[in-house]
Amino acid sequence: MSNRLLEIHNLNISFGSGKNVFKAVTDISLSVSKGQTAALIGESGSGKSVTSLSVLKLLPANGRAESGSIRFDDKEILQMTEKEMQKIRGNEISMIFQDAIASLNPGMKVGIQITEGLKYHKQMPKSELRSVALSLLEQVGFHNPAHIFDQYPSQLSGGMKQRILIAMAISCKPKLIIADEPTTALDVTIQRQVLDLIADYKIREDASVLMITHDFGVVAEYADWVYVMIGGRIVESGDVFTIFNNPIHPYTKGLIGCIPSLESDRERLKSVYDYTFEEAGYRGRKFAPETYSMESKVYHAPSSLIEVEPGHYVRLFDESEVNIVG
Amino acid sequence: MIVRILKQPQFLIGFLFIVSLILLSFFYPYVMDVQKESKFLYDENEVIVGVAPFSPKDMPPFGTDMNGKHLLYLVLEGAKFTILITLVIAFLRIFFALFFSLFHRKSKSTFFDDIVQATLYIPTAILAYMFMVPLFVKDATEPMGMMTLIVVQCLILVGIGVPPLVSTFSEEIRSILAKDYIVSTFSLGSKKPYVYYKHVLPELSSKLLLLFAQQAIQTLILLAHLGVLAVFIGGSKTIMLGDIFNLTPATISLSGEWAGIIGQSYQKLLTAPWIILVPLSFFAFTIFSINLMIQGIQNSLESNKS
Repeated sequence: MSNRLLEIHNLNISFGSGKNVFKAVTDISLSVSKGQTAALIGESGSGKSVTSLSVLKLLPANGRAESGSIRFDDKEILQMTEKEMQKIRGNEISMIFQDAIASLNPGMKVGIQITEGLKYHKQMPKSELRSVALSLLEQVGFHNPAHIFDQYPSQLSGGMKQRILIAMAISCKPKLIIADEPTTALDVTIQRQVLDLIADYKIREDASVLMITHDFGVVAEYADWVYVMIGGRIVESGDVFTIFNNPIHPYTKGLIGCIPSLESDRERLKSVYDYTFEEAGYRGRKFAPETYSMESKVYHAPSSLIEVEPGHYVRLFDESEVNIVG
Repeated sequence: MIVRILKQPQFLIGFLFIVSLILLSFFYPYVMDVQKESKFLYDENEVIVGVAPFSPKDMPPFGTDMNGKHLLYLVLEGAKFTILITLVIAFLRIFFALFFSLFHRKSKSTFFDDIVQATLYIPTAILAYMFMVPLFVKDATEPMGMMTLIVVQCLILVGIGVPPLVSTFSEEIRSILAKDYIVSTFSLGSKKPYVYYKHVLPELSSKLLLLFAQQAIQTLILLAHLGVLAVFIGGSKTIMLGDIFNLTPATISLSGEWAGIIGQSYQKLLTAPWIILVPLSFFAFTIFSINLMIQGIQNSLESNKS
């Protein structure tokens, strides 16, 4: 049995049908090892959330996994029936969504929402459900869980709602947590609390985390392995130290370059678009895809992830195709 | 939610009007001094000075119809049939539409939506007329009894209203199911029946109330239109009016619902307009009351949101 908890191989996800097919994710491969945190980083629209939803088979009605495989705990997710998936969702894999306001039903008490997963996966009486929910609320840092249990989402702050989502996600002690930009809508002090809660759970339960983010600061602090995504493709991957010490792909360099530094001179903060693709490429091959923006022209010539050093992969255009440079 | 809605004055006014009308319809013989017919008007010497129909001025408060029947008692008598049948039809439309929307929403079914959209441009009164005429032919050859006829007619009126509602509900359910908190619930392993029962239906419930009220209005208008086309709920019979030298056939409603009063006398619109205007006014006041109730529900929902 491998140490890999989640393995995605050559996954392709499309939306729409007929002439209006849109490829959201192209040929993605990634893995999350047991007890580790893998970060999937990229700009909005790069396909991070779609990838994470496909792991739970919760893609929107017009989306589908065209090809590839998603293996969780040596079981093929894409072959599973809806009934089999219901047993896995929340119980073995759970998800923390980015928009806590929209992810909680405004007309239902938060305590009831926390017990939803427990109702399905653990057969327990109502009174026990309540006591488990209260203990979960305590675990995520609420000092007055009984009061919070009976509150509606609109009565809680953004950080509190996010903690409720974490309580929901960890209620059945899943092996894998997918955290889809869990700190996007929060201020920095609350961000830290929320990320620490996820990290604590990971250590306590020896669980794994797939962290979806666009913040390299978060990646640096919490991730073991990093996958950089743009336009539905992974362009660079490696362990967190390699990616920070020796980024090769210009897009990765751009993302890291955007992090403000206290030591550097006070100048305009750079954006990822200030970093241009290097014409020289890498060892005679151009970086793929050609441009950062999904709206701009992207070369669709075949490209693949090349291992430039052990465990460090960079996406380059294939040699046999165009774009070979001197 | 019900308590919040009952606190809205508009809702309360509309609700009380309709409830009072239904109660009066059942119990008016016990609380009023009923004199249902006045065919002739006499002077102090017991000499006939007038023949029905009488205007509201001659026979307050609403006058009489061609047969000398007081319109006050006619509308009170017909209120229970008209309003209760309307409410039952509106309820069944919502019930069946919701049932089909919940259990028949595998695909987007644009073909079904296209057909429904096309039928929306056909006046419902014409559709109802087309379906009901064969029923009257059958009833004339093999009488089926008033209650059976009412049930079949109601089913036709329910059937006409269901497809557009299925389209509306399906769209509504699709938009609710696309909400983030539904995806979040599914991500915890929730099953579809639970999600529908705990999340979709409660979200839909406020809209159900509104749609129910709207359907009641549509049904009332449809009944009024059918009355003009001489299609009466509960069937009709033909009687001969006039004297032996000038007999004219007239179709009268057996159940006495308001549309029947309109339908059997609309030829008298110019000579005795009150016969038409009184039941029409009751239709209008009932619709106005339902509109007030809708307004109250909407106010309650707005205050709930803020």
